[in-house]
Amino acid sequence: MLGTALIAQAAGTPAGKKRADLRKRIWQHRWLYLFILPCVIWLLVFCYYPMYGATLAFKNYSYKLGILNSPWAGLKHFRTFIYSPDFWRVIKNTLVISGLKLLFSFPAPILLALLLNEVQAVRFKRVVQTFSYLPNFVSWVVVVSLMNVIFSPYGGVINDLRKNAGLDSIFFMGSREYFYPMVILSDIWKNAGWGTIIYLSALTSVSPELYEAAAIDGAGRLKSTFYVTLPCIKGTIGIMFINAVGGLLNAGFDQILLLQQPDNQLISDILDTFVLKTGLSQGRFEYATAIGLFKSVLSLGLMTLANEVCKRTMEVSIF
Amino acid sequence: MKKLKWTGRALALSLAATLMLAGCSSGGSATTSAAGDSNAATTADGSNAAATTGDSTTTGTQTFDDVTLKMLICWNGGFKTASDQYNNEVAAAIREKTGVTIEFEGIMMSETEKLNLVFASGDMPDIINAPYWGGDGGETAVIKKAAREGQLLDIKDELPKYENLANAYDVGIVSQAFLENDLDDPTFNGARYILPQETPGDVADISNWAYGVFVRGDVAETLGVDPTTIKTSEQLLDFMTKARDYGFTDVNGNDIITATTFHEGWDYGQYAMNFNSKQATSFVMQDDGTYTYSTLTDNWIDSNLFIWKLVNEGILDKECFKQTDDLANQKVGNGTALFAAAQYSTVINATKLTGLYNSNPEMRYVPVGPLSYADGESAVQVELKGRNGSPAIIFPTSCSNLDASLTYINYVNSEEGARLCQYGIEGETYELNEDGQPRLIQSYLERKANGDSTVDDELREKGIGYILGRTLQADKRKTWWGESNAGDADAAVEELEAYKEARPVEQLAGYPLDKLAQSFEDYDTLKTYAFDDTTKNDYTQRAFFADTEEEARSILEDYQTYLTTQENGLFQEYLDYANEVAKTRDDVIN
Repeated sequence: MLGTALIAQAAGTPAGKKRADLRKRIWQHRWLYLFILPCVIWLLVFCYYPMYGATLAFKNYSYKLGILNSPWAGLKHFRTFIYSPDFWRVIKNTLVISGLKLLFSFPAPILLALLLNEVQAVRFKRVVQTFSYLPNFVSWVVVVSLMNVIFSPYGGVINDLRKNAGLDSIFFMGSREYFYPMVILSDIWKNAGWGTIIYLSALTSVSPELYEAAAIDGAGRLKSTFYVTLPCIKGTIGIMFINAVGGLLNAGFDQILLLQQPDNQLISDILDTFVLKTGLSQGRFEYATAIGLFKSVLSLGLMTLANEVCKRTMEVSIF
Repeated sequence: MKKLKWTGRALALSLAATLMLAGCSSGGSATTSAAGDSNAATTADGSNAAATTGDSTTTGTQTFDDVTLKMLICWNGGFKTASDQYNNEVAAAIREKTGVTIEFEGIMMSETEKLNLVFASGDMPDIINAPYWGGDGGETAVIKKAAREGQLLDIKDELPKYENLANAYDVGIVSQAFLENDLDDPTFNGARYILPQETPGDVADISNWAYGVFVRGDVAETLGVDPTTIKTSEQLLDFMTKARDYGFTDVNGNDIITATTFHEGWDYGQYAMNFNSKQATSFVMQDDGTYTYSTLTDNWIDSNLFIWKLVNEGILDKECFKQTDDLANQKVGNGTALFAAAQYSTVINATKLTGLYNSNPEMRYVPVGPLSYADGESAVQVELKGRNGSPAIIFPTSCSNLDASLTYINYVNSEEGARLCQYGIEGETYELNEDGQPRLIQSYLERKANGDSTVDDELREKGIGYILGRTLQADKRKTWWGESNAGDADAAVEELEAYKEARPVEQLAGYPLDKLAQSFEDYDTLKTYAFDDTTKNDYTQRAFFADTEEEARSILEDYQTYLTTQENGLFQEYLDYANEVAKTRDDVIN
């Protein structure tokens, strides 16, 4: 009774009225809210619940005592990482690879979406779209295995062509100078098609009247793209950019791990592969967690920065 | 928005429920599996079977009431078993004797990683077999940590009850150093957690792994080189260079690779064997009689520069350091690689897999050398008196029935049990020869002799041929039956047996210095970086791909610097200590 009275009292204030409205609306659409439930549960179970494990970064882990009862170690593992001789090399490699991906891989789906948007033959467009999505479903293990076969110095198609042209064969997959091109090209091949989905859906929201008006003003296709299409989807681009910057330190663990070769080791060792090599493989879970936490905090900072920049320049932000 | 009708509500509810179940299904099944694993002593009808029908105090001979246990075979590469591990002839016969069935499960990942995962998650099987090479690196470190933290069962008082396992800790079967430093690690406080496995019952039972360099037979013949005369690195390089330049093709007429290895460069070190000396540890004695670490010597640099030269001159396969065994099997199996370095049996098996062994006998790989050590002495397989490290059988605290586990292992370690596991049922798959030794029946032997690899698959389905590999504590098979594996005596690969004689096993007597030096005060700190092969491999393999010899040398020297400068030069203190303790015994060997 008291509770009901309090709710009634709270509903009398503007904030309380708003809350009561919200509750009413939720109840009204309860069947639709039910669809969100699995996602919420998934998020709680798999994303929030395991977060307590981050405390491992500050502990000396014992199998028997588990995460919560292991003794505290302070910032020891962070210090070990920061003072390790590999610290700057690994950070630099991660930023370089992520930066290159941001520079080349991020715009690729936008470009592909714009090109697809200009295709008039509907059936052809759909076929191209479908084929461009397929690589996304191929795992990196398969992609890199295919690349190994294609670029192998021993019987690979590319090197056979080179040999037929009188050129020496090149160990593309294992040479330092080809590492970055291989990373970027394979990344674009695998992800660009799938990435167009969100931009293509944004493009459908652009009013045809704007194109008609632009055409009346004498704008060709290229100018329409620059002055109509891009400004109309800049919000989507901005949001995607913020997310991409947030994931800047995720340079692509499985891709990079599989592309690592002795010769490119110096430039291919990124934070995630370093965690695997020096942490998880050797059972130093607390050290691996410390590096992971370090990465997450840095990523949050980068994302906040990107959010501010986008808010000021593109008038979009995620918070 | 219109209100959803009842059909819509029902649809929404069922969709939401389905999504939730789908989202949770993998976790759910994992949980079930975990629970199943940790309580794996279930009977065939699903009930618990902790009760025994025998006297619990005479555990060595008791029989259980249909207990099934899980054993994790923690060796990267998987573990082939019968497709039905419960219903096969051998499992049924063992069950009849002991009442116990063990179901084996292999892994396809790093052993250290898997052990860490098992102990950290608590998702532990009843029994584990894993590498325990001693020292404080890799798998040994994880097992020792698990033992110290109470994750393993103490079997000290149990072992004497089992006649076939009771002498597992005897010096001679295991070395004094292995016993003192690893099996009875001082931090175990007198408890015993490790059942050393694959220890030789006698000198004749020591496995000869037949490592070396092997060349396609027709290559040696075409070039007019007798491969057994190749003893030094210069001779090997000259031979390989001639082979590279001759213009050979593989069995399909494709271009060749001059030399390769198997998975991840295993074992490129065989090409540089001529830089090594006969030693049991990583310490080398210098001219002034003091010891230093082999990695810090010029010889170590020269040895790696030799590999650099092979890579740089297009002789050694550039892909070999990251390749899989499957790819290596193709390269060797098709004769694409003219030279291969690994165990001889692995090389021969690759050619049997593709059929090259029988279709093109002239292309069969033949041994090079064996290469000599740096001092000119012929290379051998060095072993200590008693094993200095071994596979280990351990029992996590999750083991639901330790008595049943040990009873099973004890039985398969008896002559009767081992014969059952290796040969099956008498009259069906084997018969006794005039000396009373078991031999596979003639039809199997003939097929084996003809290189028919399906024989092993067929026998495996009956439960034959895989159990002993990871349960035999002291291997007495050669002593018992005159052959270590079924068919060895009658269907042995002649060239393999001949090579084993050319590169025999040699036992060194003495106390290895690396074990002695483990008592170094800061050993725990030192071991985190000094004995870490990952970092060492990063440096050496990077050097192999350097553009110039100078660059390669510089990378190798960088590693030496890394080793000696970490932790304010702790490694030098360790070396000083090793030299000091070496003086305390007169049987120290390096």
